[in-house]
Amino acid sequence: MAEFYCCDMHIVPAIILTITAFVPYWCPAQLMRSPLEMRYYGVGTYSRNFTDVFSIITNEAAVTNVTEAMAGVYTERRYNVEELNLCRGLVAFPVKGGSAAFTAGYTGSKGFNQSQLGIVYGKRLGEIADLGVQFNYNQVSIAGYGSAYALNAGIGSIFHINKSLHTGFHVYNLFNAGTLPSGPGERASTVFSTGFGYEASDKLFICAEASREGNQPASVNVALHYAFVKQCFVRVGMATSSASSFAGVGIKWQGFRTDISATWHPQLGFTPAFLIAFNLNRNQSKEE
Amino acid sequence: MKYVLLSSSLALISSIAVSQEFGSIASNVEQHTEFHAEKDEAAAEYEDDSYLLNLVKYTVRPLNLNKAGSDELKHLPFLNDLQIQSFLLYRRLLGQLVNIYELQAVPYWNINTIKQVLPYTSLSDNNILDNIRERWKGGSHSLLLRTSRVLEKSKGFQKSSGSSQYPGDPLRLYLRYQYNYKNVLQWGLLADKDAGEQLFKGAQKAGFDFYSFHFFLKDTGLVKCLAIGDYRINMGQGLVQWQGIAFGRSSDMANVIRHSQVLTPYTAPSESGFHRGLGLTLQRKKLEGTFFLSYQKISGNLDTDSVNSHRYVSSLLLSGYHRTVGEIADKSNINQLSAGGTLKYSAAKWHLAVNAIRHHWSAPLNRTDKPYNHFAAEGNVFFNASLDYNFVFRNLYVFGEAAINKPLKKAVVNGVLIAVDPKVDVVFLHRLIDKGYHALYSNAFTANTATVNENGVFGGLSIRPNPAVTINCYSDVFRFPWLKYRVDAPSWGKEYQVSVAYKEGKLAEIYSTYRKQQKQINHRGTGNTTSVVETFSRVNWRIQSKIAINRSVSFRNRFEISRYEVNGAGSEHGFMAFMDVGYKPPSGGWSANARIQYFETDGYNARIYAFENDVLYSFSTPALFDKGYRYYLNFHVDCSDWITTSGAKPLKIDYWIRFARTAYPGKTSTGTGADMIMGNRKTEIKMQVMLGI
Repeated sequence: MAEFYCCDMHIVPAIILTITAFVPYWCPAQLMRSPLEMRYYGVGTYSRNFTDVFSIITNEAAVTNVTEAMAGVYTERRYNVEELNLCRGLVAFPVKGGSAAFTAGYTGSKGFNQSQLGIVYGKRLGEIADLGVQFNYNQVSIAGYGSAYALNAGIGSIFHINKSLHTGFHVYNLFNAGTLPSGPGERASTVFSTGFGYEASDKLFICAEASREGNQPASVNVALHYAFVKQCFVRVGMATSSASSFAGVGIKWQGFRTDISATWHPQLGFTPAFLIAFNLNRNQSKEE
Repeated sequence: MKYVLLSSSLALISSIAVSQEFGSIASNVEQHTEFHAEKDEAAAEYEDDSYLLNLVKYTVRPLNLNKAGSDELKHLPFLNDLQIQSFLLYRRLLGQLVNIYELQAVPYWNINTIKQVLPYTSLSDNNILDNIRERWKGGSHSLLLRTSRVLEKSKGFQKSSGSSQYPGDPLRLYLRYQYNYKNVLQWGLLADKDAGEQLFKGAQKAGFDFYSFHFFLKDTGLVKCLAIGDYRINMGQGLVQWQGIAFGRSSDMANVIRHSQVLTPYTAPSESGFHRGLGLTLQRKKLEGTFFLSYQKISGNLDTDSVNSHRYVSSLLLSGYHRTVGEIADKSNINQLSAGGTLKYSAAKWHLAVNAIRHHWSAPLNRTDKPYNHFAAEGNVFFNASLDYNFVFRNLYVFGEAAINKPLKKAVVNGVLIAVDPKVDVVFLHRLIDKGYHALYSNAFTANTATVNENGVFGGLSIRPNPAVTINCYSDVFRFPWLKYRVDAPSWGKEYQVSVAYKEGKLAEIYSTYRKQQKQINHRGTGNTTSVVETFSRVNWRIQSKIAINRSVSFRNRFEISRYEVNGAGSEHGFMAFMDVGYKPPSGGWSANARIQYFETDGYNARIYAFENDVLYSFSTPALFDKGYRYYLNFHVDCSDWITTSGAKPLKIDYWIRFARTAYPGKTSTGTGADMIMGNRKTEIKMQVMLGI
C-alpha cells in the first residue's frame, strides 16, 4: 500500500484550484449544448491508458494525462440537420507543474449559434489523484436579436484506485443554476457527473457514468472500447436519458488518429461524426 | 430544514477514530443514519451519543478478547450474534487467543469483520477485577463543553412573536463531565440547554433545562452491573423495552438482531428514553437477573375532561424543548413510576429469558378520538411481559421474542441468521404485532416507527465474493392491519435494496445503493374533496466514492437521485451531489474537513438525507429539499502541547469549531413556525472544547 502514498504533491495549489473553480460568474445566456449522454469522444476519460485529448471535455482532470503536445478536431451533424452542425477543437500540452489545454467549440447556423472558448489546467496529485479546472467564455448569437455572453467554470477530479479501476467527479458551472436577480435572462445549466472506468486489459476498457444537467432527469451512460488490433479499435455505448446509442471505429498510426462514428436516437435518427487527433511531438510519435 | 441528530445511529460505526475525522466513518454507518433519519422523520429532533462514547472508550482502552463476555462483545456493533457465539465457543474449546491472527480461524469471522474489530480490541491481560482503590483512582476524567447557535434570528427570537416567542437566547449549551475506569466503573454529570431556553431564570431557574447523573459499576463479584441515577434497559428483541441503539431494515446482519446487555448507563443529552433510579444485575453461574426501579417526571400535555374534571395526558413532548409558554407548561408534569426485571438462563449455545415491566403514570393517557387511535394505548398503567430466546445450531443462529401487554394482546418476533457459506450470510425475520399491542419504550425490528400494528417478513443477503467486494441486499414485505396516522385504511408496503461496495484497502471505498420502497398514504387528487388511500413509491439511487490519496488528504464524492411518485398523481424528482475534502497533516496536531453540496428537489417528498461530519460526539443528517447549496467546514486542533503540566498525568485539550451554511437562492424565508428565518440562508456555528486527564 505504501507505494500509493506519494509525497510529491502540493495541497496548496490544489485548494486554490478548488476555490477558484467555484467562484460564481454572471451568466445571462445558455451554455453551448452539452447533452447528457456520454459522447463518443469521452469514453476513455476515466482511465490511464485509454484517455485521449477529447477526454478533457468530459472531465477537466483528464488533461493531466497529456505528457506531450497534441491536438484534435471533432465534428458532427446532429440528427443530420445542417443547422445543428457541431465542431470542437482542442490543443493540449504539458506545462510546468501540470498540463493545460485550449478548447474551442461552435454549433448552430447563421440564424442561431453558440460558441465557446476555454482554457483548462490540470495537475497530478501524487500517483492517485488528478485535478483539473476549466474556465469558459460562451456566446449565443441570434440573428436580429444580437448576442449574449457568459463566463463559467468547472472542476473535475479523477482517482486511479489501482491499475485497472478509475473513478472521478465533475462539476460544471455550480453557482449559476439559479434565476438571475436582474431579469428574465436564461441561465447556464449546472452539470454534475461521476464516472467509473475499468481497464480489463490493454485492449478492453469498460466505463459507466451518471450525469445530470440542469433540471433534467439524471442519465446513466455505459460504453466500451475494444482494440482488436493495436492500430484499430471500436467503441460502442448507450445512454438511458434519451435511449440513444452510439458506435464508432478508429484507426491510430504514428501519432495520428481518425475515427468515424454515429449516434442513433430512436425518434430523431442518426448523427454522423468524424474525429481526427494527432500528436504534435513527431519524434515520439514515430517511435510508436 | 429539519436537522436530525442521531447518535444512536452511530452504533454501526466500525471505524470511528477518536478524533472522528473525515473519512474515518464507514459508509454503511452513513447510510444507516440517513435511512434512520428518514424513518424517524415524524419524531422530534433527538440526540444521543452514548454509543459513540462507548466505542471511543474502546479505542483508548481496547477490549480484551480473552476476557470479554457476550455483553462486552455486543458493544462492537459490527459483530452479529452468530459471530459472537462462535467466538465464545471457540475460546471455550481452544483456550485463550495467543495471537490476534488467530481470529481468522474463528468460524463465521471474515477478514472484513476482523479489520473492523481490531481498532477496539486487544489480547493484553489487563485484569478487569482490579482492586477497588484502583477503580476509584486510576480512571480517566473528561470534561466537554459544546456551544452552538444559528446566526440568523428566527421568528421565535423576535419580540413580536407572542406566545411562540422564545424567552431565552439562541445559544445552545452542553456540558458533560465523566469519570471512567476501563468501563467497569463510570460516573458522570451532564447539563443541556437548547436554543431558546433560559439559563438560571424563567422556567429554568435551576440553571440548565436538563441535568442527568449516572453511576455505573460492573463486574464486582455477584453484582454484574449496578446503575444509580440515569440508565437504560434493553430486553429481548425490543418488543417490551429497548432504549438503546436499534436500527430498522438493513441487510447488515448485525442490525437485524437486537443485542445488548440489559442494563447500560445513560450518558446522552436526550431528555427522554431512559430511566431514573436504581438498576441491578446479579449473576450466579448461568443464571442472571436484572431488576430496576425508576421514578421520573416526563413531559406531556395535560388536558381536563369537561365531564368529570379529571386531568388526562393528551400527548407527550419528547423533543426536550422547553422554550415557549406551551412547551414550558408541558414540562415534567407526568410522574412515571416504572419497575421491572429480567431473569435469564444462559447456556453455551442458547439462552432463555423472562422479561416483565410495569409503568404507572400520575394521569391517564387519553388519545384523541380518531379511528386510527382506536387500539392505541390508554390509561395510566402499562404492563408488558415477554419470553425471549436464542440458540445456535451448527451454522444457524435462531432468535426471537413473544410478548403480551396488559389487555393481553400479542406480539411475536422470530428470526434466523444462517452462515450458508464463508462468503454468504442470510437472515430472515418475521414479526406479527397485534394492532392492540403497545409498549411504552419498545423498539423492535419494524417498518413502522412504533412497534405496533404490523405483520411482515424480512429477508437479507450478504455476499462477499472476495475481500474487496461486498454485495448486500434485502427485501421486506409488510402489512398494517389497522389504520395509521394519515392512512385511513388497512395498508401494506414493501421495500428492497441492493448495495454493492468495493474497498481497496484503506485507499478507496466505493459503493452504489439502489433502494425502492412502497407504502400507502392518504392522497387527495386534484378536484377531489376527500382523500383516498393511494400507493406511493420512493426510489433512491446513489454512488459514493471515498478516496485517500495519501495519509493526509482524502476526498469523498456523492451523486444521488430520488423519485417520489403517488399512483396516478405525478411524481417529484430530487438530486443531490457533494464533494468533501479532508486534510490531516502527517505531524498531527490539527485536522480539517469541508464539504460543498448542491441539492434540488421538486418538493419535500423527494427529499434526500446526507450524513455530515461534525465535532466529536456529534453529527447531523439534514433532510435536503427544494433547491440550494450547503457547505461546511470543521476544524479540530489538539492543544495539549500548548500547555505544560507539572503533574504525573498529562492534560489533554482538544478544540473543535464548525461553520455550516445552507443557502436557497430565490427563497425569501426558510423554516416554519417559530423557527422561520426571513432570508434565504441559515448559518450555524458550533464550538467544542474537551479536557481530559
